[in-house]
Amino acid sequence: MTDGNPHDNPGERRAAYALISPAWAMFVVLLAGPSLAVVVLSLTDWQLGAPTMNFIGLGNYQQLFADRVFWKSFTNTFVYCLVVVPGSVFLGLGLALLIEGATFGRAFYRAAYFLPVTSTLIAMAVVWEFLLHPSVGLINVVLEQVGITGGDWLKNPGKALFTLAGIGIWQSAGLNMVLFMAGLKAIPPDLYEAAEIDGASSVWERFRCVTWPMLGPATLFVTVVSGIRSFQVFDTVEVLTKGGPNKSTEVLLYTMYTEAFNFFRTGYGSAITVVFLVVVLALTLLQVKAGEKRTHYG
Amino acid sequence: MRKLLGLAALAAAFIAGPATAQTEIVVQYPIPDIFKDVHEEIAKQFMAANPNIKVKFTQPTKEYEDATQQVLRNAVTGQLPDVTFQGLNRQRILADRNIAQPLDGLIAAEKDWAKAGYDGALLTLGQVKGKQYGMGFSLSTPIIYFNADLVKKAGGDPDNFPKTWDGIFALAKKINDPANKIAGFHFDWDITGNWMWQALVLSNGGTMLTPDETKVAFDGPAGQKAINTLRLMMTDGGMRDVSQATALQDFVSGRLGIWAHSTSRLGGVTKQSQGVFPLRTATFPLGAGAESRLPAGGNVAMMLAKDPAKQKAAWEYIKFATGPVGATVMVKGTGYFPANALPAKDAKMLGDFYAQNPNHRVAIGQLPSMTAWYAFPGENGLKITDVIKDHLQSVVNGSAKPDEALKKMTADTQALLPK
Repeated sequence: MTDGNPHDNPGERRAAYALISPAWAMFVVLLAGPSLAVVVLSLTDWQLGAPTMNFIGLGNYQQLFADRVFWKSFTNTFVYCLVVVPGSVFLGLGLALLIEGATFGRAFYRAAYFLPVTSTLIAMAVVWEFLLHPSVGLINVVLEQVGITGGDWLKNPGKALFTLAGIGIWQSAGLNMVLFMAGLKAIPPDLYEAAEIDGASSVWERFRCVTWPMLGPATLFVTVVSGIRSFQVFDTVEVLTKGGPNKSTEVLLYTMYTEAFNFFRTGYGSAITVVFLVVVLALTLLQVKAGEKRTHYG
Repeated sequence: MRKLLGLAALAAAFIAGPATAQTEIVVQYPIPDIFKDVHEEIAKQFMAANPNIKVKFTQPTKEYEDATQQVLRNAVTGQLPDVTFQGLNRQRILADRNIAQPLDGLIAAEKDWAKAGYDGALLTLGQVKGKQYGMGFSLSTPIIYFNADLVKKAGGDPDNFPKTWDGIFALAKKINDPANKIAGFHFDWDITGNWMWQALVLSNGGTMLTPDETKVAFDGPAGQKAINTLRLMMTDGGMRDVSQATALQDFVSGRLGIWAHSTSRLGGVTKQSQGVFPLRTATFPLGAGAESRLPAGGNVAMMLAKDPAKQKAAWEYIKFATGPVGATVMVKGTGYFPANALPAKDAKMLGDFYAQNPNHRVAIGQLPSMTAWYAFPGENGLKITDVIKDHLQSVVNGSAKPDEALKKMTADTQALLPK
């Protein structure tokens, strides 16, 4: 049976299991276990600190899908993603191209645009609160100079979510920029020479024929990572709007937090977490599937 | 066998011996920026008077919300403090989950309870379904703060402040001066637990639910008056849709004329307004005469200890903190008033303090109308307060008509009540 295949050697097999066991243990304790606990809790009516819990099957999910606040929160989260993902991906790409094409000050610009990524978003949210202050904030003061009345960015139900999305773009464009720069570095220069010989003389032609297709895998990766990150928006909502006014900035993680830790409806909060996990998992699978296809194009 | 039992009893006596010599109790409290010095001073005086009990504090929580959160988490992990100070409207959560211990037995065992200064009306604030779970520690009530300079400038008389909302709105309109960034009026409608909404409904003689707690009652005449008053604050009173923090900043910097808020800030605002403007207070408008009620705010001491020895020590501490000595320390350090009647009668304790601080006396005058800060029943109790807050917001920003908002608010609340 052994056929000289080293993997069938019982000793080596044991060693292999022993070697992966720490990783497995960590996976079970830190990821699989808690996730499973959340799924189980989502099937109960448990409230934080309650002496009893009952299995109520899919009761929490039924209530969830009939809950106006949940759907509002779900849609808001998607609207937020639909603004932040394209915004931060194209801004990141633009910045990467500009900095790569610059003749001086590359390191400075790279650092400057990457700074928002390294700063703590909670602290930055407080800074944004000052900038967005309706009467004395820098943004409205500047707008006033050109004759525009800015209004209250965070208390206007029509504007608040997009204001938060703007902060989201500002925060994640830097990371996308760095990822695109890595992608640009990997494009062999001879491709540009070949394109030029073939008649792609303008900057746009070269971008369309060489840069953009060669950045395909990087773009996919950046898009999915931005999607997952913006799906997890919480800090700015907690600090700046608390989901208001009138739930106009209520997002999934914030709803989960208020239900589970402010209203103590732990079972219900767990159900929201499960929905959240499913969406993130779907996004990740999408990346893996699409990534497999993409790697074979060459 | 008898010998063995005797030995066991002897051993038990030895083990219990040191425990009675010094019992340690763990105490948890919220809002350290108001209460830290107060609690530490009370504990110091308590330990000096009771050398056999040692008081240890856990890390205080920032707000009432996290104080409840922490106790619930501790209940899961079995690390409950022996005494906790909780917001008045949070007692129900801990009583319903059997985490807090009822105090009725301990009160019945007290010899001179009638002379201890705990008035019946104030005791009811700590009762859940007829049982005593909390002992009032620091209480607050909604009142009107005003800037006497701005009121005078607008032609009002600070010694004769309006007693109705209409009167207040008329005065606010004259104070209002947007060109100079002076606002006339603000009402902190979004204080936690729908506290100010309850104040509006109760002061008009209404209640939140029917007495049997099965049906919404704020859709009646009192509630209709309350929600219309809230809208009139914007249209007639010129109130802006701003956060509590903005209103507070505006008031202490002399840019807000009239401000309805809790007495809890009186200590801080008195200090901050010194040298800026003369601060005065007035009673909250009562729209239903003798039927008017106002919700009490603030916090109570609750006992979580299950062990009899610890319970005994915890009870001694609760009596000390909520009694004359603790109340005197607390009142002098904050804007709250005590739930014990004794210190205000004694010139050495708080009698002189109230004589010299008429702004603090206004709240004492509101004592007869005081009632509980209502907590909604059932597992959705806290969610209901959030639903109500959202509907009130829609009235404040004008996106819904008051009567329509009240109708929706009633239906949404009814749907979340236990069936």
